[in-house]
Amino acid sequence: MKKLFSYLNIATLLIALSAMFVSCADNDDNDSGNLGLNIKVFSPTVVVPGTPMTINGSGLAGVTEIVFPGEITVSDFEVVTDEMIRVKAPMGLKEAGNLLVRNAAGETAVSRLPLTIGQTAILGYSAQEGDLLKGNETLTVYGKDMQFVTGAEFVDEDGNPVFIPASEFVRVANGRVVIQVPAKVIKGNAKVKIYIGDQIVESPEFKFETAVSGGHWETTKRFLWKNEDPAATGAVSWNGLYRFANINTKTGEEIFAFSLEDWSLIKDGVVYFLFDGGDNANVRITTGWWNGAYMGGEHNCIDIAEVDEETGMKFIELNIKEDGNLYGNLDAQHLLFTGEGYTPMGIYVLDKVWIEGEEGHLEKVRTSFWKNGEQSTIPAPSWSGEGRFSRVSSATGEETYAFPDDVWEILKSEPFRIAIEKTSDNPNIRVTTGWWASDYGGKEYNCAELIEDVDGTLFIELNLSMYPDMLALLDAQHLLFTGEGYRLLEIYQEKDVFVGGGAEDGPAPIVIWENDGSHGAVAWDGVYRFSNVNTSSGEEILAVSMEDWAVIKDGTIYVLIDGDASSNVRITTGWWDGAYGGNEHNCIDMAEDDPATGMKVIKINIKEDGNLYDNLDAHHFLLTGEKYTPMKIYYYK
Amino acid sequence: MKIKRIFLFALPTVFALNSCVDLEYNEVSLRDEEWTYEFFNDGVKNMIWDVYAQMYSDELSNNSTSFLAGATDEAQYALEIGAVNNYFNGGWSTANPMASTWNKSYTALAEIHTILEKIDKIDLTEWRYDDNYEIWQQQLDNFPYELRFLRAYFYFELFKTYGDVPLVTTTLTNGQANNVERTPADKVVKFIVDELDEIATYLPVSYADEPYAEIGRATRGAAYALKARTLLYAASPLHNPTNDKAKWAAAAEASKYVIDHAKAWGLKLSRYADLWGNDAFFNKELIFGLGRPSSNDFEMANYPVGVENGSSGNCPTQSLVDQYEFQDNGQTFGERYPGATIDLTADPYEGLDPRFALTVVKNGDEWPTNGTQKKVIETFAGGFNAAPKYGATPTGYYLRKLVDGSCVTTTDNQVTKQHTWIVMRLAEFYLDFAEAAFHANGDKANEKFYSKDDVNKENGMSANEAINVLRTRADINMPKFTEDGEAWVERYERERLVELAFENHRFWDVRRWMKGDKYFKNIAVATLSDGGNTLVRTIKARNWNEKYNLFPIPQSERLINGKLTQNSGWEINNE
Repeated sequence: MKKLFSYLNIATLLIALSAMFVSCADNDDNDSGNLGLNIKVFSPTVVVPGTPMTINGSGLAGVTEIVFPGEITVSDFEVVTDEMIRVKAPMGLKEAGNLLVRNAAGETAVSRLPLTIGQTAILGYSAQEGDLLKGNETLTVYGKDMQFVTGAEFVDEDGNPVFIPASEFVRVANGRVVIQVPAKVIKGNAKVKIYIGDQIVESPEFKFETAVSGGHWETTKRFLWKNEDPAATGAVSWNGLYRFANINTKTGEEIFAFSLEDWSLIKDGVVYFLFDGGDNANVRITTGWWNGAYMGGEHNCIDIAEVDEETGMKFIELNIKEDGNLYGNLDAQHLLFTGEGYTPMGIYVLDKVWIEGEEGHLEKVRTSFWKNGEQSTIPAPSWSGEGRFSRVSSATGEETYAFPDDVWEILKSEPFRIAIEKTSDNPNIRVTTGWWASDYGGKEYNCAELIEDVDGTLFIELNLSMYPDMLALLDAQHLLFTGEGYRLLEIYQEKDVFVGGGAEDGPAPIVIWENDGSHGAVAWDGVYRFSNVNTSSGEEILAVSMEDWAVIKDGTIYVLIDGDASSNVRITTGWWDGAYGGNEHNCIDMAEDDPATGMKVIKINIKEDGNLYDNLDAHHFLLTGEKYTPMKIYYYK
Repeated sequence: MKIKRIFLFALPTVFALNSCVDLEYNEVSLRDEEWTYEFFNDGVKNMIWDVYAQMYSDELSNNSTSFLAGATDEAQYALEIGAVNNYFNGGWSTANPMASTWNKSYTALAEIHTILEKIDKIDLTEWRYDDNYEIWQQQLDNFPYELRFLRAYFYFELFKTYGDVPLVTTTLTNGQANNVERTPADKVVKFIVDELDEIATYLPVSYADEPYAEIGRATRGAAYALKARTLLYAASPLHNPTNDKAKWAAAAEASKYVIDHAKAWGLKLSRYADLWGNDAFFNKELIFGLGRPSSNDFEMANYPVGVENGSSGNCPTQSLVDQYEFQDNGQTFGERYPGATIDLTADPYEGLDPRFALTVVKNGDEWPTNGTQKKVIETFAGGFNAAPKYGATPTGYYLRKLVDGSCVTTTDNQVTKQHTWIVMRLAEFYLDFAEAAFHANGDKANEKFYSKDDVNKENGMSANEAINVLRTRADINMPKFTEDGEAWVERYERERLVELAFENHRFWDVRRWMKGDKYFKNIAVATLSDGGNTLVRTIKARNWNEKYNLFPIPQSERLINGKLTQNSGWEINNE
């Protein structure tokens, strides 16, 4: 979307004043400074009860009463100066009319203008009934006297009301208000309640969806000049054939004259020179007067040429301004591609085109693996073996329930929760193996210390992968919840999962790790080190599940970073042996813009790259370098 | 692709050249009052633009007394005759009050009050069939809020400069004007804050979606930011001698509001290097900026002598350089290299805060960046850009920050660029919050400060957390703050100097802290010799008097109005 901005250029004011205190009032006070009691103006002139107002005039320091239309007298106001009072329009104000002020001496002054009562009337909305509104989009409500709207109420995804006061609106103006739909708005049909003081007006029913963002960028070539007939024009031959000017400086010697806009891209921006030639070409980029050479001296630019994958030809990325050798003379002397052994084919820029698409959003997903009373029933434990669980493939009949193998693997490798109910004030919750051979948290550890309470639900989050000794025994010996003073209600997992539409690979992204803000930018250090749960050594910022580690090693992952072109992004192992992209490669050149966040994202396939793969398990995965902050690692299923 | 249209403010004024904003037609003025109120673009709108135009004070002009770095430990002006030197060489007096703040502010206020008192006379009904009528009406509805923001702005400038000032809220007769008295600063502050609270909701978050998309006008963010800055100044020692913690808390609350709402207002911290340059006006960190037309005046004023048409201008001091910290351990340059002499052969600047290289040009740097004029700068004695050349740097350094190196200042083929004077940007409010929260919490930098609305105490932030948001920006990446107590104060003052260098904050910060004795009396400068291999630190003494914390009321005003008392220390004999 093109936006038209007007650049406000503040020139010097031409007013010259001989005295600094400008006297401009119409009244003639014979220089005494005493104008008596007077109302010059008040604001705003359209009010509703409670509207803050200011009254300007003279002699106001002595005012004891303000009388509003309808004989409503107010004595609660603030005298700011002798020329200004602040007051709120009083409750019960219904009539239009002039304001009157009265002082202790009984003198009065009446306003020149009448006060009018605001009559807010909603005339329309920017969306029609049934239209889709997504979280973070805006809804405009049009009407009259809309400055008196006090708030708007939406429904959130849990069905609860969300009130947005007018002070948080995007825009409050006399003719409209603009309201941002809450990000986590309800998914479904609902009306918006518009509050006008005590009154509520309901909007038409709209269809809401939670906030979505993004899609993806695609890079396209846009040719500023293209060689339409290379056979006719032929290869360079140390001649001045491929000379370019702009429309203001053309002399007839050029093959093409660019518009001033395109010329400024060539001079000041980054452009790409496409040519058909081999490695033996001599590519001299100079001015039409052969005055200076790109990269200096008599530099043959073939050494900075790269292969254009689309055409198989070669291209050179040019930044004439940064290079500096041609810049000052380019307008007058033109741009010349000369040399031998190649044919210029085009000069282009790269445009990024945004392709709309849903990217999805994070949702809390709860997966219940076992519920007391459903898959099986167990009483409150009394140091008994009733709370015993196994996997199907190692079931012995002693267990109350055998989990499917894939669930058992999740319980072994990922955090999960047990919901409990206390039957005494001091429960003893022991999580151990069926043979009582190894205890969670250490020998005879009471897991009641880990109880959390969220909205009255008691649960304990466990991560069996943190206790390798116990983990090694679980298949054979099973998992046992025992102790006393509590009842086991449920075994479940709750995760943040990305749901919704796809990105360039289609499926919804799953977040492996996200920066919680406790670590800053990389500094050639080992802070952002990742291992898996089996190979953790304490040096990592996160030991990921085996499932996620498999994706890191064998699949495609995305690393979101807060950085820019000056960042040095080194992707390596924790032992710094090998670098993604090869020898000390700075991966910033692989980064693309992420419009959802304004940051950059790098797509990685460690298996395909090959430089880190073999050492990744033992040496871990490390993001390091300088001038950027890793923000998130995610993938798509 | 952005398409920018450039509008010039303040075309030939509609106001007659008079001692008053008199709109009556006469043979001198071109248009009368009635005409002004009936023609939107050339009449009404130009009146508003006239007020905005008063905000700019030639900060980016040559030898400007409004570019205040040369009056602080940030810089030494290259020429001793530089006007800014009057702030410390005895040239500052009631007869030479230096700042034009009094004049400009009360001129602007007079215009504001004239418009506000007569805005009901604006009648565009003759244009109701014009395609632009609805848009003009929308803009007209917004003008009173913009004018009240501008009024608050000018009162902040007056309060900051003079302390107690006459609080004028209406147009005045001759008699009133000659009898006004100074209002206590606390009352002026309350007025500013109350005004901004009342109008902020009605200002657009952004003008990008308003008719004509005239960005650069007063926004909601600008209103709340001005409120926060005002409260910080009001809480500072100069205006808060009893260290009333409630004032600090109010300031912290206001700054936190800006920080918490920044994202919703479309604000975002920027790369340091993007704060100036041709497109800086559109920088998302900018809360309020004053755009200037395409020019290379500032470059001519500050490019080194030896660069064609360069005049050296505002030269960073060694005092400033000594305050930059090293990235490895937070030690300052001055701490790592104390003493009178420094060996430069091993590049002692290596590893300094990245903001140093973006702010200061030192010996050996390539500067400016444009291909036509780029060269290695020599600031050692006898070097190409150094003494004995007339006007060469007296400090061993040249200014880089705010100077657009892509401007070409050669006599032929000049290249000019747009410039933006930063009035307010987001980073300032992290610093303001840190300072206020520290003091509000009883000088504790690691204790969280919670807004009054945050009843569940979920969204608190400590002073150090706020500073570290700036320190951990990807392009800065400096060691985090962990200090507390007095050590924190010293480091904070240093961080504020470094971050806001040359943005006209230092001049006022040291005054409101009442630390002029500490920072402004003895200024270290560098002399390079031995082909640039040796740096010798010397101290230049400057005048400092506690009366300098506030400006004198202009004597010309006091001669007209004897009721205007003078600021302490500025009284002429026998007053």
